[in-house]
Amino acid sequence: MKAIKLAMALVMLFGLTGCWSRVELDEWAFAFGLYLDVGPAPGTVSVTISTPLPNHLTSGQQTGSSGGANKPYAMITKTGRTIPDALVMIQQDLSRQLSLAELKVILVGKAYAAQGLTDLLEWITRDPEVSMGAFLIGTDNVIQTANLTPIYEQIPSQILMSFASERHMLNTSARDCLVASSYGLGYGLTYITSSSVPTPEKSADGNRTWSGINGVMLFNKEKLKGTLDLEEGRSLALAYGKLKDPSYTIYWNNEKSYANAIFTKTSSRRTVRLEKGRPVFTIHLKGRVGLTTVKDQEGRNANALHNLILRQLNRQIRQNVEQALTKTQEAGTDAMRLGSLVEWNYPKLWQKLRPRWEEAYRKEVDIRVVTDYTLNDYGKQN
Amino acid sequence: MSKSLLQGLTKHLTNCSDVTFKPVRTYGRTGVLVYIPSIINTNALQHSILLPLREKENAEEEWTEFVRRMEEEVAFSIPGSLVEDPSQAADHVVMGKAVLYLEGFRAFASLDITQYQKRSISESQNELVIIGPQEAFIEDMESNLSLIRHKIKHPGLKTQMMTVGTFTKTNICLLYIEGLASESLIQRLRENLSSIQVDGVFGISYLMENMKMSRSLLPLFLTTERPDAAASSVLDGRVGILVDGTPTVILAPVTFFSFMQSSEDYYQNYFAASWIRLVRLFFSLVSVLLPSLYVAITTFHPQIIPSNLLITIASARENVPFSALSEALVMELTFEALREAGTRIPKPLGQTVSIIGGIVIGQAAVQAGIVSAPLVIVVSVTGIASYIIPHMELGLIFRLLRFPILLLGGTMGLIGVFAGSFLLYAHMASLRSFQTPYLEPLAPLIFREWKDTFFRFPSSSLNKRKRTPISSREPSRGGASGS
Repeated sequence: MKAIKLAMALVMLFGLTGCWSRVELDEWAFAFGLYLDVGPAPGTVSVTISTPLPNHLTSGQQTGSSGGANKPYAMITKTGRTIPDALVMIQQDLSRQLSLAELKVILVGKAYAAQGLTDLLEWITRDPEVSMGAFLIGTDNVIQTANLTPIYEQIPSQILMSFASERHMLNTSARDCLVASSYGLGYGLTYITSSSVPTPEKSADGNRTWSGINGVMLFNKEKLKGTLDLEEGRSLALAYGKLKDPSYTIYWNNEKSYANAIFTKTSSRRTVRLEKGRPVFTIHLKGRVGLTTVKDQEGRNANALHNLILRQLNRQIRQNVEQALTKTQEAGTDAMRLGSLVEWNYPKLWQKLRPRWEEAYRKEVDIRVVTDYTLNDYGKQN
Repeated sequence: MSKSLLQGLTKHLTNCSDVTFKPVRTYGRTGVLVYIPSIINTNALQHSILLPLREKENAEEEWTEFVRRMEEEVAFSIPGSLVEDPSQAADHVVMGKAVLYLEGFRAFASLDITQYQKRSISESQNELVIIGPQEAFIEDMESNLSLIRHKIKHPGLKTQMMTVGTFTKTNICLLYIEGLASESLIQRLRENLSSIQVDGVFGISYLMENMKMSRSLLPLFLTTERPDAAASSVLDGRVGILVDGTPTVILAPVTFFSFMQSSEDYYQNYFAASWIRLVRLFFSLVSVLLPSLYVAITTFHPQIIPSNLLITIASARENVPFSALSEALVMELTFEALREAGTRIPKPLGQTVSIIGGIVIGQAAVQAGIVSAPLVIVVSVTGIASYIIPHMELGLIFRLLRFPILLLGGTMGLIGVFAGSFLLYAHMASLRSFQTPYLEPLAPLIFREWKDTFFRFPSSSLNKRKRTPISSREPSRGGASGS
């Protein structure tokens, strides 16, 4: 009897398994990157996946420099009416099973972004295979960026991913976008541009594609509303507390004297209060700064110089951040999710503001910036 | 009548060419001294038996006095007894005693001058320590008892002798400290041992398998060849069983975690020892689970591997024609074969096996694309891990358990691995070694004993006698297995 019970239990356990649907590791095609742009026909989307080619990555062998024919990655592009449509078409042509579980970065083209990200976010919310942690990045030219030449990494998508994960600008993930959308707030994506530059080494291609961060794309209600340039983008990221190890150059004496500051510890805090019924936000930026270069035309003594640098630094950062935030106000995109502060502190007011938050953010909201940076490292020589 | 005694004895000992019948003459009477020269102490024979018997006067008074002394068993300076039954006397002869027959005396005098061939005390070969005593038990029980008596000088240390085996008549000895070991445990062991009916006992496993214990894959006795380990176990309230002819002592009761401890732990710095204990526990898990986890994750759940590692493993697996499961099975089997060959092979050939094994498994198989390099690493780590368990009996079982769990992992993925480990855990939790729960102090949970289980606290803080006899704690629920 006991044996029968045990056998029954095991049989039931067996039903839970998927040993018939087992897929060996070398039968998968893992998509690390997904690149979206508008298709040639209106109403279509062009989907490109980037998968590593393990058969070109023999273990222990350094790759990436093996030349065009033996690229360790593959790009497959299909056009369809929806993203899943296009993915199904890609799968049809693949000898391996496509897995989106390792999807790390989703690149959206400017034209696609202008149409809106609603379809993309909807798909991410539904498809259980797609990770919500995938980074979203915007670009001007999807095909060119997707084909950027990896130099340090093996696969282009790893570079795109490191733009976000290393926090060179914003590290907006799909989850962040979904959260912002559900609040009715905006978000920003790191904006990457690509260009063709001649290779220093002699190779068959002649040119290679270089991609770099060029600013921030601003989205509201899933639509592209505007862009910030590199400097403004960095200021926004700093204000948002997203930037890793930022550095700043401060000028005075009509840019004849300058100092370069590295931020060793930064923090950003956002508060809101009401003034005459209108929300006033204050961004408190705090941090410790180290100096790496100082050039002073007038040869001030160290004390005076440091005071000057600190004053300039605080002022300059405040101005930059204010400028960037003004830009977001002009675009009507609450990229720092300031609205959520109102919702938290003044829920009743938020009820009224929420339907027209884009308008309110643009016109009625006041944003102030308070900076409190202190010098704590004067370099080897002070 | 007395003549028939000698005839009876001679009949029992016919065709035993090594038995010596030495005629003696004393008090005017003839006699025969029967013994086997190879298993007696000839010195004692000369000085304590032959010398006192030499050419006594034929005086009837002295003979009467001698017989009186014989009856009182004080005639000789060495221990002895009177035996009337010739077949019993024959037993005494083959046990190494000298049996004296004297014309006109009603019985045999059996004199204990046994001395078997034995080797000298040597260093422990299989349970190595760096700091600490090096000596190990030998095959001779007297020497083994002397090693333990040397360590525990207390009259409370009791030794109870028994004989097991119809033909071998092997001496076994129960060793415990009165007051520390539980009475019921001693009683149970005594009953168990005396009920054993076998032809012969040549090793401890003969005893362990014939005791009425629950059947389990897992070892329910601890064995050691180290006198210090045996002594410290006895101090912990365990009972030791010494078997003549075996340099290994059985200790009971045991818990799973006692197999994870080495004597070295107590000789080393306690921080280092605690760390090593944790490492051992970790690697004992590794030795059972690593291959199955590798196979389960790579075939069923590649999503949980970090991307970079995933690419590396995938590219290594790219040209391998077999599934991960068969690859792992083949490699594990090969490793088992290598291990077994390495143990049994004559020493001069050992190098050959290790070279061939190293090259075949480590290099050629990977280069030929038969197996993938990560799997070789997994198998090697697992192999090393299974040797980290200080007691070989548990290590052997863990190596065996690896295979069913590997099959489960390869067919059902992680759910199979978890189901397999759960079944194993449930079995261990239900197991008892002489009423002691096998997983104590983990199940039942006894936190204060953790400091000498998972860690090794300084001995000053361990001294607060948890050492109430282990098995005197009665089980909280009845009906469980064990015995």
